[in-house]
Amino acid sequence: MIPAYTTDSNITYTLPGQYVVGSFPCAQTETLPLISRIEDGRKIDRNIGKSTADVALENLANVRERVLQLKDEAPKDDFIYAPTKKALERFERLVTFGYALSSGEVVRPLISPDGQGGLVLEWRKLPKEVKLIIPAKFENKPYLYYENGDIYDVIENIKSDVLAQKLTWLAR
Amino acid sequence: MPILDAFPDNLEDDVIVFRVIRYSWFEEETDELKDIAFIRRPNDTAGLSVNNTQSNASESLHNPNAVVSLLVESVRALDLDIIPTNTTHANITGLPSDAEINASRESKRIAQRLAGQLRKSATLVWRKPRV
Repeated sequence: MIPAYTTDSNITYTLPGQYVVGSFPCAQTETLPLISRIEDGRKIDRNIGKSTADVALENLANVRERVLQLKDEAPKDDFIYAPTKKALERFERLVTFGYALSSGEVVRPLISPDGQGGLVLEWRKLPKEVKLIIPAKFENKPYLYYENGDIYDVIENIKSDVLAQKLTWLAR
Repeated sequence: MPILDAFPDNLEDDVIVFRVIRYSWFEEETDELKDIAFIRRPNDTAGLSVNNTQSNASESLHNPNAVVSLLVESVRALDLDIIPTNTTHANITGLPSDAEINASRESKRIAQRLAGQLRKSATLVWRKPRV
């Protein structure tokens, strides 16, 4: 996915389909991403928040809040709980877009630090499962694991549109 | 099924072993165990640690959140093994290492699948009381 417009602090993506996502801050700030949705030919801006009528964005607000809670966790027992800036940026881009582009109700994910500054999100709707692995280091790219009974695979260099496809698949 | 006071050199299939669970590996609200509990990190050089008793497992961390049990037979059914390193500690062996996971797609695929299988085989035997 190629950003249509970029500044130092914001990235605006124009996505195929009904969403445009813009005014996209880094998770290091407390500013909420702004999701702009095209409805009946009109562009409607919505900050992600619990008051939104959009279920996907409401769920996203909850996920984002839980991830940001990890930021202040101190390391314990040789295990890093706080995600790095790189991991948070990746989370913001992948998961914000992934939720915005998905359809159907996405189940509440389990969220874990990986112990090295990265994040793992698990969505379970048995027998289907989707896991998003977001490493902390630039050289290790995010990937997605999905499973449906005995069928399972990995998609490397995951992009948010593919995450959205898998979250939609899980919701079915 | 036996819980051993001390691990022998080789474990029988019917032995139960215990793995300590960090608080971030366990979802408090739903009592769900996360797969990350069975993914090797860089310092898991020889495998994933397990202990012979619940108390030895919980004492292996300053701040344990839970302990799960695993039957040796169920681990071996996944083509993995459990190898004692001393009388109280053993490693689950055969899981891809952190370096292997980072280096290859197939290792990612196997590691994530096996983590899920181990999680499904694990039984919660202790959890920190909720405050």
